[in-house]
Amino acid sequence: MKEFLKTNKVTYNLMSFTGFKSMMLLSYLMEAPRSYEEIRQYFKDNEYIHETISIDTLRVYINSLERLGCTIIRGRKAEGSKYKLLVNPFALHITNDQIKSLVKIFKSITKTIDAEDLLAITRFFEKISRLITNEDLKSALANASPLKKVNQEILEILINACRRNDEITIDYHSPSSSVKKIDVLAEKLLVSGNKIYLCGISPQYKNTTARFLVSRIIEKPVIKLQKTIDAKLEPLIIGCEIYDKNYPLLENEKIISEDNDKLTIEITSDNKFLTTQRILSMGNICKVIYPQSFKDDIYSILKKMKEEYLAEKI
Amino acid sequence: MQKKFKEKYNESCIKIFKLYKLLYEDKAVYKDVIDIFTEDDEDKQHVILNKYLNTLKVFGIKVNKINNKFVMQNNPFGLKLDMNDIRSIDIFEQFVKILPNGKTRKNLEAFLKMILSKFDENANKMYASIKSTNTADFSFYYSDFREQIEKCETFCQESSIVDLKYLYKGKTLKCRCHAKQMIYDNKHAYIQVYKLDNQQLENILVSNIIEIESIPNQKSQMELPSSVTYKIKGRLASAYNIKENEYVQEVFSDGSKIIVAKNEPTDEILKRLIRYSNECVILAPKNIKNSMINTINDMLKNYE
Repeated sequence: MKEFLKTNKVTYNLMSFTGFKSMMLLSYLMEAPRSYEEIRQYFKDNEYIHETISIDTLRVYINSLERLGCTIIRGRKAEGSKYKLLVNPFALHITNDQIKSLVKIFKSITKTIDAEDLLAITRFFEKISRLITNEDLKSALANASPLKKVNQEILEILINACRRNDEITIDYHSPSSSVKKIDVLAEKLLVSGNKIYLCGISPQYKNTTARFLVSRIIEKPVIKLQKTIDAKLEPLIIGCEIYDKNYPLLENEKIISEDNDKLTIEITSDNKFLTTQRILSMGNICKVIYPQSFKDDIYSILKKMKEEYLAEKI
Repeated sequence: MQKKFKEKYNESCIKIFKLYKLLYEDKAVYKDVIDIFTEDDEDKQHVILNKYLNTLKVFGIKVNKINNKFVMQNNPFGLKLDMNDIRSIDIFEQFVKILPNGKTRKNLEAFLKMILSKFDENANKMYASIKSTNTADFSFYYSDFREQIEKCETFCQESSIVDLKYLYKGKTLKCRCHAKQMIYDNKHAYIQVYKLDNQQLENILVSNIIEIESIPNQKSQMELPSSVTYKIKGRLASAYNIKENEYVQEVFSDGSKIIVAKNEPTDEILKRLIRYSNECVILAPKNIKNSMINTINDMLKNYE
């Protein structure tokens, strides 16, 4: 100890040895609950202290910490009679309302920020989660992220693959079949319905941008050295009439004309399935006007939906 | 009642943590620091203070004296922050600037103030570097409707009963409702209300609100929890992930499932379930099921 102090230009007489040991105790208890034996050994093994601590001295230190606002309890004998730090005035204090607001704001920006930032915030939330004890709030923090069931290592590979527009092979656990290998020209990562998808062009999915749930990719994707997939894809242009001029439109929906009671818009899409879902969600304020084949498809889906309700004996 | 402390304690232990607490709270002005040592000989107080500052130094805490105040440069008891964390904090900081005044903004500001005050030297360096390369821009959010959003935030905070006039599918509707909470999504702000006439939750786009006025001296009524029961089948049933507000009521041998969703705003659940096309049918309640059937019939009329 003296040697250390000498090299650091602080002499033994010019520091509080007791103060130093009490700080070490708090720091050690902050890591995990500790038994007296563990604390004793920790002090003995410390390269500067090299002394054990008596149970009486330990009690005095704990009493002192309690005077400062700490709550320390001693656990059951069956669990090793460990000292547990329940309340620590020196830890970060985050209120329940602050957590709720953080979650609320995070949910509102998940679609706007890129996957890298999404991953950063998810990891930041994991860190904060360790500082709070309320299980509901812990769960709110964990569930806020679209990455909750995602392997973060796989996601990191996909982020880089999308950035470089790599051709990759993924092992995808499809809900309708077992695991299959799929080649994809990685384009972007997209958040929808609080889930993250890899979007790209795949020979297995003709004339559309394919979407794969990242949580269903079960192995690290393999990056191909040579690209074989043709990146050209003709976008789908769909004309619609919208009978609510205040309806919030998406970025790929462009107003091409405006009358007193309606808008005519054009949707540019690379995914027919998603566009169908979007049009259905708009309800009766939306009518597809072209192309005829897409209009027929929507009509056919609506007829099937009606039949389902009739079959359920309304 | 004041907490009863056990008798034996150690004065040095108390002093070191009192000093640490002042530093931790960024309140270590010289006068308050020296007050910790008032029980010591007056002519030795400076020497004792140095002794405790040395103790912190040996423990690894760097302390600088800036003007008349001691400032902690790193915090071994704090959160170890890396570049990802600093980036996350920065994103929230950018966002809070454009957020209208209200409970959410206040909470977020308090959180950021607290966490920024706990930055150590390393975190401060990372924070400074990220500030110089910052590209986040949320300025498009809510800027057109700031005043309305702030008004709605106030009604939600006060849990007010409000009279609301708003546009819905091109028509003007009126309702009396309980202002519940603000919902922010990608670019849009909504007020979630509980409609008193049909006892349903609804999210109303703030930009569609024509008038919103609070009704004084009105207490919110008992609100009935709402639930929607629906059946899914086929591919959807096998791939469906149950949401936080849902549970599976029944699973059939063909893989189809009956799901119950609780407290989801009516308009939102209708929009969500219609997207599942013919693989989903609403079973109950009857009024929501009829709303869906009417919507499908009205949509079909668009093409007939």
